[in-house]
Amino acid sequence: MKKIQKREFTAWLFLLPSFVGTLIFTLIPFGDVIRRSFLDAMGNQFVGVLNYKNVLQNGAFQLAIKNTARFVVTCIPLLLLLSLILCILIVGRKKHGDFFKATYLFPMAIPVASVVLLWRVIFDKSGLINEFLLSFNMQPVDFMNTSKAFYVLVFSYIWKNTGYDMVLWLAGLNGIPTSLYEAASIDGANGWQKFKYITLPGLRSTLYITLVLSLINSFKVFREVYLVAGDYPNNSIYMLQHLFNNWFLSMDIQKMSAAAVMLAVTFLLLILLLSWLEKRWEGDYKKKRRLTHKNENI
Amino acid sequence: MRKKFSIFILLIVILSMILSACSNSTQQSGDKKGKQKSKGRYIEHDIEMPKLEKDETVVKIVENKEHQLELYTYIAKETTKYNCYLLKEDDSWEKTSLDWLNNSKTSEMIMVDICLGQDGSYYACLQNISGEQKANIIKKTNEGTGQFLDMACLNESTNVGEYNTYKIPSKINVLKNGNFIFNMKESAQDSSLVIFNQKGEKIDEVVTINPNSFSVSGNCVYLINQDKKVVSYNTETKNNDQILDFDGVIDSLQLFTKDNGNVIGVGPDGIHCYSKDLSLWEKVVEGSSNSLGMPSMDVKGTVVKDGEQDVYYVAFSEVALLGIQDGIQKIKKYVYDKDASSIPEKEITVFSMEENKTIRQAIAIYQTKNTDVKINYVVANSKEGGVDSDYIRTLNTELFTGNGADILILDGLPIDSYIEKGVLTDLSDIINPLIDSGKLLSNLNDSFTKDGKKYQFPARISIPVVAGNDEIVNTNVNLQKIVDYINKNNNAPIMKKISSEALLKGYMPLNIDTILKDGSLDEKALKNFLENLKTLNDNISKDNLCPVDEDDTDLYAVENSRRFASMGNPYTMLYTKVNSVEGMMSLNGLKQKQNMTYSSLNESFIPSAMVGMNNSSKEAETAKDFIKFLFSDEIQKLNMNDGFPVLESSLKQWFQEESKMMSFGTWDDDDNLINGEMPNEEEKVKFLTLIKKCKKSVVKNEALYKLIIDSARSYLDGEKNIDQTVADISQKVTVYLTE
Repeated sequence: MKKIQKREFTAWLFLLPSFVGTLIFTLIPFGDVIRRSFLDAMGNQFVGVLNYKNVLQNGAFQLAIKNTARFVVTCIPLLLLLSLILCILIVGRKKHGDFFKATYLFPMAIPVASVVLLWRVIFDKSGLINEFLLSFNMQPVDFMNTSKAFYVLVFSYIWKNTGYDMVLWLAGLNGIPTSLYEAASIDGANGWQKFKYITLPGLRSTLYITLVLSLINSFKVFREVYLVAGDYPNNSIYMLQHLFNNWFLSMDIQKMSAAAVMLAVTFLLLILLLSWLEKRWEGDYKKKRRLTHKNENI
Repeated sequence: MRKKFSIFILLIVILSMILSACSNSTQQSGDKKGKQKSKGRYIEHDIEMPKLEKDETVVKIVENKEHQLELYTYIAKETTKYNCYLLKEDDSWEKTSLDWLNNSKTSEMIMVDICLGQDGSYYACLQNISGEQKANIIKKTNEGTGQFLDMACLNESTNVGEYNTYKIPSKINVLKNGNFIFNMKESAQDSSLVIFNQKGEKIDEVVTINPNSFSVSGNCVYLINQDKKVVSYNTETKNNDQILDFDGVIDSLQLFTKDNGNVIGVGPDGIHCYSKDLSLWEKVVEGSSNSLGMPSMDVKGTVVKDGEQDVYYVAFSEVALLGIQDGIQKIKKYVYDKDASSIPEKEITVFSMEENKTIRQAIAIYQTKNTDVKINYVVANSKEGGVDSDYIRTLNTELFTGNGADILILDGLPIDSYIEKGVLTDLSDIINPLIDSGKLLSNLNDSFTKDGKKYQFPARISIPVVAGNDEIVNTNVNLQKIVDYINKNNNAPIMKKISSEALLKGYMPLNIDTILKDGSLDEKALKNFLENLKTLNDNISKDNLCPVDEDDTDLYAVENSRRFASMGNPYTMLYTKVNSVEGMMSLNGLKQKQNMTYSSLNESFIPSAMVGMNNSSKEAETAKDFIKFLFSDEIQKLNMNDGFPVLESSLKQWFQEESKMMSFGTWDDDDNLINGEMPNEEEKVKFLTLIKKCKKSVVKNEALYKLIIDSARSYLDGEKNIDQTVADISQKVTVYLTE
């Protein structure tokens, strides 16, 4: 018992610096954000849930939530699927596998400012795509100032993050014992069956972490949009961060705080739900494997 | 276990050190302790100028061999007389006649510069004022007589028409080896110092960013090189002996050397001393709290009296309007006071997005009158490459935490948000008494009153005007009427070509009330506005007389009328703004030469130096006292060429005062002289009445204008159609308004 207490104490000791950092730079400020969400702009007067009510009724907030949700719902499944396909294709290749891995990771190494320049060169009204369209006597498209801006944003996000997600999938794939594939081959399973019954179930925990990280990365796309289109981009790419940014400029910190609290709660619930699903799924999988193992023994 | 416990204790100690270092309160209390203990700083004192005769011009202050201050003057009457005033220990002056200069040969000259050379002799540079206007160098001989030096460089002339022009050195000095160093600019762009031998033959040339700022020590010249570094240039080896890294305001730094080889740099941020032994610059006198920091003061000379604590004498010229200087007018003495607290007891901060001359001048004067107060003037855009929204974000963060500046100069800041969120204090107790007593211009009152309170008030105003023929002026800047005029006149360009951004920025404030109605965008009105503006833009774009400067984004630029007057052009309309009585001269020129008239834009005015006070100010009394001072006659009467005063008495004084400038003149491309004269009494009264009629503030909502202008510019430039543009603006403005 004494030994366990000692080990716990040592663990806490090692955790302490990170915990203090998180406490000072994240938890305490967030506590202040919660406090401010119930006060007026300068934090002098308690206003109850008025800020929450105002934010929920705010047209710009509704637009930003709608766009952000649309972006997440469109991008994340696409990204997960595409990166998984690429991952499997790369694993299947014995030659040049490393080359492709590095190539797909390359967009992550490009600084945002360069990405923005690239966007402009490609998607500007007189950019490469429009020059190409004009050469076929087609009408040029104003990508960034029309609803097409949303698809440009989706493309950019996927282009930048596919490599990263692919590496996460690769890590998951490497965690699946090769003996399982060998056993399946002996049992006469084809490629699809191996993927369905070994690879997919084995990637459940990776799916969870990749999903959460992709979700977090999806919020970082704001930098590119902001640098290309400024404070007020086309309505289709007006994100929550634009709203927060503009609220900060107009000193609407009470609205920012309320929106941030709601966002944090939504995220927390979402992550808890994913975590619960992952655990349940993992439990079912283990249960099934135990049953299969038992049947085999019988 | 003991080992682990000791690690734990060490971690706790490190953490507590980090946390204590972050603590604000500890630091403040430390500061307070420091404030109580540390004493001693330089205090500025006035030196009364000697009683000068009428028309006596002060040229320079010079440190003599006995380390006394000498003041050199001349009186140019029928015969020129040169004088020297010696400053005695009790700060009184002793006048002596400069016998070595006062003779028949120099009687028709004026003094340009004088120096005590490194060879121990005095040298004066005099310029003929009759006949051929050439310069002469006169050396004071050991016998006490003046010897004219025959210098080839001063005899070289260039023939311009009937006249010969000669090079005139504006600043001279003599090196130990007897060679001369002159600031002898050949053109306005020329920024080099030329070294001549004793015969006047050029032997070297050094490039500097400020040819008026150099000093000599032995055979070395201290100057500011093109890399903005103070260097010691050895004229014998023709190499830099030393590079003195200077991190203060270098552009207007004036350099002086001491006998011991130390270098003194005097600039708007203070007096800096470079110690040769330590190889370090030290700021000995803080400039922001005295005359050194005043934009109206131009340093003309410095003398240092050695002692336990050096005493600095600085001569200033008060820069009059439009850069005209009248020689040295003031001398200040900086003496170390060991009993004065090194940091003033009270400290406030003034924040502004852009540099404002009136505010800076007021800060310096206030501090000279209140030595217990330190005012920090924070100018966000003082460094290149910044973004306004980033500066506002930083300011907002400070305001949220209750640490923002005490006084905010609200030009370019989100004023409405600050009022709505309770950031600003009601200044009614300062402003209302001034309005009630009729001291402040009452026509400004309504524009800055919100719910019966005054959270902001401008310290300066400018009057935007439209000039042109009667028909144009009578359009009263109604865009539709201007378009009708264009159509009626066969679409001939009516105005100088200007960027579409400038057009939008200029017209937006005048039309925003029709575009935004009851808090929502009127798309029809916006479409109408943009279409009319496009007609105007297309009309002026046809003109190829001068290229468009895309950086020129001010439709009402002060320089417009001068440019307009000097171009011999066919235009019929011009926008500009008037900042001062002298600013009316160019309008007068237009009126006389081109038969133009002018009027205000819908009786509107452009406010500037808009003052607001932070509600969380910890030095509220001092901040209010400074704001009161800003609206006092002492500050309002100052003409910093950045707007009219808002105090009735100061405004009247401006219009009654006889200006130092009588007229301006310039030539157009065909060499026709375009000139303007000071307005006569009748014109002055007319303009004063116009100022008092202007009731409408040109409201600036930078964020809203920016998003409209960003979208509308491409329509004006023909890249987008009107429906697309209106739809684009409409969706953005809707989001902005719903935020």
